[in-house]
Amino acid sequence: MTDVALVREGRTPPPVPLAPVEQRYGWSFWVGLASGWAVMAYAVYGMVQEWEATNPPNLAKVLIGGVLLHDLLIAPLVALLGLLIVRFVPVVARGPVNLALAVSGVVVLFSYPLLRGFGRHAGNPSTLPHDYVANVLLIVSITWIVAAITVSFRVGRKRRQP
Amino acid sequence: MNGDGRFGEVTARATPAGSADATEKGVSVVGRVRQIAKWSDRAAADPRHDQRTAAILGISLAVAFGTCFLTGMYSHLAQHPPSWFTLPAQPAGLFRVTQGLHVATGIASVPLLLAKLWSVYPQFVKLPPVRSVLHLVERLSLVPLVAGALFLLYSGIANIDLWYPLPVFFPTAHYWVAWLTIGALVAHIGAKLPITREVLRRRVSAADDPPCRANAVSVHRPQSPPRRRFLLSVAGASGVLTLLTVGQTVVPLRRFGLLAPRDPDVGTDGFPVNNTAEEARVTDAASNPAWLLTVVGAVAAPLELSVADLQSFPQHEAVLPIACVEGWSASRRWRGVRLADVLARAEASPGCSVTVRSLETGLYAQSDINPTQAAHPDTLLALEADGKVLSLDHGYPVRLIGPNRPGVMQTKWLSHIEVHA
Repeated sequence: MTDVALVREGRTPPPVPLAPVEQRYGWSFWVGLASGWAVMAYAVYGMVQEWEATNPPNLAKVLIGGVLLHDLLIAPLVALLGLLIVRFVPVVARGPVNLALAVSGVVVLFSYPLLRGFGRHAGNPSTLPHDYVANVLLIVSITWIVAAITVSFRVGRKRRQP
Repeated sequence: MNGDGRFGEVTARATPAGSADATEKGVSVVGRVRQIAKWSDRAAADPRHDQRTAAILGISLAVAFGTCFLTGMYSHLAQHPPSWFTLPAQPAGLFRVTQGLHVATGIASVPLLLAKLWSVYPQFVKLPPVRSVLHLVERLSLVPLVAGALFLLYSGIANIDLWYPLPVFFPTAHYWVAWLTIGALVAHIGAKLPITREVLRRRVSAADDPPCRANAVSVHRPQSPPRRRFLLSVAGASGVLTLLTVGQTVVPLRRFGLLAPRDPDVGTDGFPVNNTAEEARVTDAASNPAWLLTVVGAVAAPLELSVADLQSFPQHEAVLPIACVEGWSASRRWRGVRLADVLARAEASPGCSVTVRSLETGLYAQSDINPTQAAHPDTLLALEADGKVLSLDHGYPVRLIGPNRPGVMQTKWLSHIEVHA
């Protein structure tokens, strides 16, 4: 099938990617390795020196916990969400839906401590002064309204195509 | 990759089949792993998951984390100056800019980091996981890189939101993890430099990042290519998040600060404080009419000054920001006595350094003032802000305010000035 025929059917012609560049281990690798690991060793030395404050066992748990949380939970969930989008969202709406989901996700993730109001101190009106629930709702609503308008615009333009 | 060596529209064609296979009964663990690896190969052909995207996001993150590292180190030097460093007194707003930049860049990095991790995730599940000893070494340095980057953003955001969920002391842990992360970043840049240079040197052809025509309004007006759209979306998300928060220090944008944890115009007397007098437990001591400021140490004439005594000194005004390490700042017109005048009255030797102590106890109950700042005409023992007597929350009866000092070093509720020779 030619590209034009594919397009008539509403499908994208497959991209022809460039061949991936092979990983080489040249001078920059060795310079980075030596200096980078030296700096990391300095960091570990510093953590141990200030044991009371950094609490290395706790810190290690938090550091590794963050990686595991992302790699084994958040990333697979995002991939699963991607599969659901591919299966259930029509091609014409996919881009705006992806973007709206990503923006909503990032905004909610970023705002989590604000939404919960952990840092609001009674008697200190300057701490977390806004109504963050309302603000997040506003931002997310605007995002989805823009996405919906984009999709309906696209559908309309497509219908008018011969 | 399809049999004919071309790549399908990955998200649309390849993945549903994969997920359908995965739900079939009787697929072994090995089979599933192979499936995921196959999926990762196909995903890696998507321009949003390829080396060029990874390189562009990588460079953006390197710039962002480099900025955070330098501004963070400056803040560390300002608060814990080693013998070779003297915190300058000019420009007066320098710390406001560096720390505002530190926090804003960290916030802008959130979408960048998530996008980068999403973009390279197929590499994470690629088989075989290790191809050589050097590849193993290279992958090992990714653990501190990813762990550190996630930690720095997470702990930093929690901190600006005054939330302390971590079982570590934030400033020290954030500082040392910054060194760990920057070390891992240097190792990563060293490993990826040849690939980055190569993929960025290549001319991007239509075949590499082809326009997506599926959603296009006509064959002749294709949509912009997926990589470009993806990168623009990431940049847009970064920009939006920045716009929604940066108003806590960039005053003209404060109306957009829907997600800013502070507003420079909200608080007691119309600007923020980190600790109220009540929280610092100084209400009684600070409002006691018998309060005196003592000037002791390397002085020929030790002083005990009441509020009236301070008022009898020549009064000076200076417009200076309170610039918090948490990234907010608020500029006000302060009025009070020059520290240099008080030091002269106490017959301290010129070029002395000073420690000021507060009525409060705890971590931020005192701060050091180097000779340059102590002698500066804008370093004030402030009695008023914006024409009003300081409120208790802002440090009544007298607070220190000086140019280019981190907010935690603008000590409130002063009780002692200790002069060092």
